[in-house]
Amino acid sequence: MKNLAREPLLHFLLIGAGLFLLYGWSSGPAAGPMRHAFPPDTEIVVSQGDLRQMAEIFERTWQRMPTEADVRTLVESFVRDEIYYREARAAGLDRDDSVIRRRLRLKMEYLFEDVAAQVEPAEQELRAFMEKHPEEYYIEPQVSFRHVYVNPDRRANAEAEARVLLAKLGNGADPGSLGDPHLLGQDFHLLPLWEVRGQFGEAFADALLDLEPGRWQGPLRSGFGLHLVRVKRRTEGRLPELSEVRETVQRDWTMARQQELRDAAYARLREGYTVVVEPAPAEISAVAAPTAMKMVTN
Amino acid sequence: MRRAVRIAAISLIACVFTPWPALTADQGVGISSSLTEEGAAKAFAAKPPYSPYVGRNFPTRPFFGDTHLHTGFSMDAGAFGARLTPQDAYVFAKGNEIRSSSGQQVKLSRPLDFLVVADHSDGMGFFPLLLGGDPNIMADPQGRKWSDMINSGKGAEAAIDIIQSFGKGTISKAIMPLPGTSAYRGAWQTTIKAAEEANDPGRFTAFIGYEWTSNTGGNNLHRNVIFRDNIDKASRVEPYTTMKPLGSDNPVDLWKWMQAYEEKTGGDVLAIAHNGNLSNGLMFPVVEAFGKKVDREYAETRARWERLYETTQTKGTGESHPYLSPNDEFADFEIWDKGNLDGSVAKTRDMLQYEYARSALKNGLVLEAKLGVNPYKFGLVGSSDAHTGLAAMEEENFFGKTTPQEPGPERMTKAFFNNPESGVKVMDWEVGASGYAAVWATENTREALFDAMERRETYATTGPRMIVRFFGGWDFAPQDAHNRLPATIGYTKGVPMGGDLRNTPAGKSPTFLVAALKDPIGANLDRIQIVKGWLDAKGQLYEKVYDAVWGDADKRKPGADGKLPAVGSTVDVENATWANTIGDSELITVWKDPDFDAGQRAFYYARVLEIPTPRWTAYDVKRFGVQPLPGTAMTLQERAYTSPIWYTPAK
Repeated sequence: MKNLAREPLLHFLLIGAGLFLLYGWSSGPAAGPMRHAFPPDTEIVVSQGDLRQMAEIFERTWQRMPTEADVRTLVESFVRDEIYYREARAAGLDRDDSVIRRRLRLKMEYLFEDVAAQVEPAEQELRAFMEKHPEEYYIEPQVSFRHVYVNPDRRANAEAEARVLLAKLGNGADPGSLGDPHLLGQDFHLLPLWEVRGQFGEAFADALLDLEPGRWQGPLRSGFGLHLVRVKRRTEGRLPELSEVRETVQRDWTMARQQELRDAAYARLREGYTVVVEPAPAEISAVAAPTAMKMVTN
Repeated sequence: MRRAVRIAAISLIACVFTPWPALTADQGVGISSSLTEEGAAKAFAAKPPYSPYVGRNFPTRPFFGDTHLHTGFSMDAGAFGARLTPQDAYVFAKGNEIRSSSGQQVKLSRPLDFLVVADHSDGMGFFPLLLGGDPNIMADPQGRKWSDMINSGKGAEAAIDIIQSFGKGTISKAIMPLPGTSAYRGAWQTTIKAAEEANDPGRFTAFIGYEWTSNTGGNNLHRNVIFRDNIDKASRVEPYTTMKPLGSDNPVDLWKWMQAYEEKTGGDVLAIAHNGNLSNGLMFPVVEAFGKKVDREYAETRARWERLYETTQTKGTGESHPYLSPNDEFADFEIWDKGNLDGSVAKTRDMLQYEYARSALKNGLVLEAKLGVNPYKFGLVGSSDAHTGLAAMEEENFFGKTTPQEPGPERMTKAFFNNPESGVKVMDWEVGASGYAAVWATENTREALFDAMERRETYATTGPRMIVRFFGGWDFAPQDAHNRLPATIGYTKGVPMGGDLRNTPAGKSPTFLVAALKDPIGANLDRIQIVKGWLDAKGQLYEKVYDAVWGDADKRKPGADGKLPAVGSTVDVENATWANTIGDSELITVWKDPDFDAGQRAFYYARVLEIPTPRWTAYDVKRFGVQPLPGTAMTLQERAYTSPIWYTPAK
């Protein structure tokens, strides 16, 4: 059963079944948009479930249980809703209402999402997913380094002074006594590259990766000034084992799955339709996308 | 709450916190929020270990984030057109490119380290319901009206109407998702789930949180509530609201809710107030609040739950006001002082001292002398309060406060709100691209960041990510500013921002080690100032701003009047550019209070100014080719404000 639950084909069958239930009473999606040329059903049953739900909503709103008179009013209003609902649908009033359309679309999409959330992925599916999106799980290189900072605000000829300092460092001078203080400190232990980027900027981080470990080099440039750097140790970037990032991969897999199912289900529905788009009127073709959106939100 | 209230507060506030092993300076170099001479002397006399890392448990870098971001789940944000969800907000904050609600691609220059999605608790999830055509909402005339307005392209008007109806308490109860209903529960669960999914300890912290939006009469008393906890505890409650009977608009009741949450779950929460500038004199009361006297109990409770204040954000900066601080030439920064939040009542001058951080810190000294407890002993953070799902607060990448204010030519000329009756009109260009919270935590996790917030080891920035250190002690010497490990010396000889100084050694004055490093991709620094506030024996309050250290110091000297000349400006407004040819990339000094009186209560905080740079309006003029309205501010000096260090005389 567990294996069966993972079977993609099953999902499509489930979706298919859901669609059938939804559309079963009508002429089916393949036949194109629904026709409303039939009269509404004229029997209305107010079920116990309906009554219970009405009472619950009443209680939430008014903070008390409904009386018998309240129930009569609720039922009458429910029946009124139902009759109008049926008549309105029969008249096709639901079709040009954007709120109703959007709501129904959401309901359909939720249906597919729920199906996706039920599924427990197999180990190899997760592994395949991870291999397909290496950039998402890549563990960046880490660098241990020491730097001697040369602050151009304090030294008129920073470039030349940096070269002098580099020679001294190469001859074994104590880095603790050279250069200028830096608020981030001098010594960094296995700092991930994304941290280096955040603290020293992109250019410095890129240059740092090119340095050969073990000797003083530079000067490297950052937004702060010049840096003489000795890389002590560097771990290479790598793809993690699945066990290290399993939770994240599974979450991403589920999200991707939901999207996939939504798209696949929609594509199937879409196949049943022929879409004709009339040529755009001249006045709208020049409008750029952001501006068009602005018109909606303003 | 319990963890961060260490020595300082325990000696000060006689309450029933769980005893916590007090980490003092004599136990190694670490975080301590109070300093006695004895402790410091002992620490310094000890022989340093060979390994420089021994005992080093202090924060080595600040984490930058936003404690106050709204998404489409917030009622007003949704009405303004925000469609992004909490999940989108976290994806964006982590540095990914997404599509904004106005359909524009957007990405941060670099990821943030943490984010709190703080949607309004009242009506949380209302918008997804409204847009989804929820039958309960559509059956209500007001709900129907707003839905129609939004569907006919009048989203911004609907938003203003919703905010005003909310402030006036005229929102129909039938349409508000209330705690206990499935719609409300669903929105809260989605919010929590988004934070759980985005939380990546060590790399990115996604806090669970919400905003409690007390706004009666349009007067802003808003607070953001942040959880230290994970889903297991946070999902056992639903956010506290302001609508009666389930909620209340009185902060005292919010504190009770916080207390009850902690008792019920064993969790930890804190609250951060904001926009005193729109409270019309109600944010920092000194006499009474909600008809009740400001007494010792009020002071204790407030100090316990509200250890930070959001002092800068899109709706104005609230550090100081030029009317309150006429001698502070930098007080006039991104000021919003026309009225309250919905513009229904205009501002009068007598309200100002109860609205701004500096005056509240001063009034806190008076209350402490009178009540024995300082209710306004808060640290400082900045945050966005953006209603777009986008914490994009850089001047050249500013995505506005609301969705209609996302980049586009209109935001240079349109009014944000306009109330002809009260005469309050605020233009879109007055919205500030500010700010972020910087937190000196030992690691990037919910727990470590939260604990740092509770010990007030934080500072506010108006957008740039400059690094600011601020330590107070009795023995900092000028050469400490040349030390290669300023943090080690700072934590060894003093307390960090947010801490306390007491027990003055005879004849000594407080000394401060203060340092700032520019944003690696930002502008140079103009100067660091120390802001001091104090209370004399006659009960008179004072404040003074000192220039402690400044850039280009070789050619820039204070004049005969003691005033430091301006740093100058390299801004080319027309092209929206500037150059780092003035100012310094790093500033550090030891500053000693020249006017110290050991018998007077005082506080000190650092303010760091960048050199002038183009304001977001300058980038808009350049990129959209529009003309700014007369009077539009086109340049600014971005800044950071640290949490204060307080000095309290011995009894």
